[in-house]
Amino acid sequence: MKHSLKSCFIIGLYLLCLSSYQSLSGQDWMGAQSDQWKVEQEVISLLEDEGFQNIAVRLDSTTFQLTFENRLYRFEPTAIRRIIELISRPLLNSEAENLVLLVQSQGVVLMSVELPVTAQLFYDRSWALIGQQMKVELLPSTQPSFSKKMVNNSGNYSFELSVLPGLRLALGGQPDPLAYELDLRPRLTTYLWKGAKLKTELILPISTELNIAENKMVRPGLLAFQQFIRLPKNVLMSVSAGYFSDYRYGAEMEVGRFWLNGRLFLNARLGRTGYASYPIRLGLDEPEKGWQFSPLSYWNYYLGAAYRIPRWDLTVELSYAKALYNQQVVELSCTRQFNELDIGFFAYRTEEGDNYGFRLSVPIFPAKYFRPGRFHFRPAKHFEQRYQGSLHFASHYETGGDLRTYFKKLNPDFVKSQISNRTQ
Amino acid sequence: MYGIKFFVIICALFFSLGANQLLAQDLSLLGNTGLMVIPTADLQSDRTLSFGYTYVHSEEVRYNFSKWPFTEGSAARVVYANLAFLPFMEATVRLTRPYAGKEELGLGDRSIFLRFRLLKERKYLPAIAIGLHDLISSPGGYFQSNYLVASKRWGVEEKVYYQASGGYGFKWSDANQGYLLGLFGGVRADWKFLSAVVEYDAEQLNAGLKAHFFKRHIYLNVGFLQLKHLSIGLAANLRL
Repeated sequence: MKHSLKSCFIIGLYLLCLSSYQSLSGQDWMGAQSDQWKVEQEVISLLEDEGFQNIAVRLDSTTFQLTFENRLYRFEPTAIRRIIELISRPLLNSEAENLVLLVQSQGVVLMSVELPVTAQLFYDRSWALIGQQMKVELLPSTQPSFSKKMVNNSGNYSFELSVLPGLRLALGGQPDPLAYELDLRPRLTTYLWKGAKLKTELILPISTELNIAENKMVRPGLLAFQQFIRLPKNVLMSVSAGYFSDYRYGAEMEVGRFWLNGRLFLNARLGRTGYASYPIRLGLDEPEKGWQFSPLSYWNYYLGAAYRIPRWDLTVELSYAKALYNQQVVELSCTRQFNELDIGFFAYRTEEGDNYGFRLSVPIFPAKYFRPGRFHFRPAKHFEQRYQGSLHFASHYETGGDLRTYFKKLNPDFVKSQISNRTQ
Repeated sequence: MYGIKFFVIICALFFSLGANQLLAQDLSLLGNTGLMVIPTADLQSDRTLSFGYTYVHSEEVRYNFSKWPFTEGSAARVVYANLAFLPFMEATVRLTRPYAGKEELGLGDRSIFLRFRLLKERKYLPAIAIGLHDLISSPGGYFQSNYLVASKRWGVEEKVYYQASGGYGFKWSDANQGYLLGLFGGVRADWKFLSAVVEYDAEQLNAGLKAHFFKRHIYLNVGFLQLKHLSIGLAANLRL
């Protein structure tokens, strides 16, 4: 009896100790969870206040994962730098040892930026050092596991109105050797679900010296839907349908694959289009309002290979295409990115003859836009011009969605060099 | 005549003075890196974008349109942009337009010059470059020229230092008006912000002065083509 009482006492004491220990550890765990939650909420609120979209965060033991979409800054590396600046303080107060930024485009994660969280990097904020220690990966293999509920300030089902300046120059004509056409192209981009957007564009003529009657009337530009998907094994796919440039309507599919962390890109496009114009007559005759269509019967294709030399931010591209009007085109081009300015030279051969020239893409002020909400207004990001030396033109239509954009703008080597090289 | 005297006096002064200064890799009157007209094997430093304007004397028929019927006797203006596209490649986009024409003229001659450095200058070896001016062109091709050129500098530790360039220009295709056809060469001497140039462009002797201002962001070329026809160019550059 004595022994049994003693045993009961010991067991009771043990259980009491165990329960109190468990309750204490629980408090610690709860406390840690609460600190973690606070850091996450602070980061979300900082990014939301700044105007980033599709934000989700997760602090897993020592890794802080943050995904976002930038529609606020013209240049993606500027956005990444701003995020690093914004989250420095809460990150240093957390237990995070690594930061992983997952950069989205249309809700699809395309790039990861990983760097260690150290006071030296985040307090001193030496961009050269950050650039050195940064690991940037295109189409990261580790996909984030953020549920829809975790996403803050969603950019889906929002509208973005951008205004593109349009300038066409006709050089060397008679009697006027320099004739121009100036128009404005307000474009409403509706971001739908993940990877989907709808572009509707209007062409508003401002002034024209080109003697083309329909160019003096208000007319539709792009009216196209695009669905963009990331597939396994570094493959991206894009499907576009609607009314494209160069008076074409129809559908196009593009598939592209990246190798060598974005240095090599191969892509193929296949399109089925027909002719469509809003003014019923084209040319010198007085245009008549209304749509005119031809059957959807023309196949066109494009096969391209692009290789990037990071040392010079140079892209060398070789392509073979069946363009419009049954033209077989072989094109070689070199484009260098001087920060946000792109300058490229190209030469191509068609059955009718050769052509060559250069192209420019100049960034348009400002570098930061209004904070995006459901409705967002901004000017176009770039003004593009292309000069061709001879009259042997090859015509390609634009769908408004081109996978090569990601190859150029979200290239890991380029992003890394832009983050580390920019002036403090 | 006064121009030649002035030039000789300046040259004499120039060679008698001196200061240690790096040799400037500036543009010729025609928009590519070079002396007055002839190219050198230098390239602008990487990422340099230059814009320039040149007045070409009316008598310089190979560098303007003054031998063409509608623009006879007219001087020309050359407007160009030059970009050091890569550390070993330079491109010039150029428009040459007569000043006066008896009838409506076109826009002028548009051309693209591409230049590639094949060899960097070493202690005993010159820099070597190849130039393809207006290689792919519409039937005009007024300023088509292709050449190999070598340049070597010396006296870098001296107060005045020099560069000699020599090359050979050849026709690639039938162009209306080629220049730099055959052997060409020239010498320049640099002192502080000034350079004096004497050159032979395969047909004639030219001479001139170059001056750099605002930390070499502005260049002025004053050339006497055939040692008598004043042609002036002004260029500005920035680094991208």
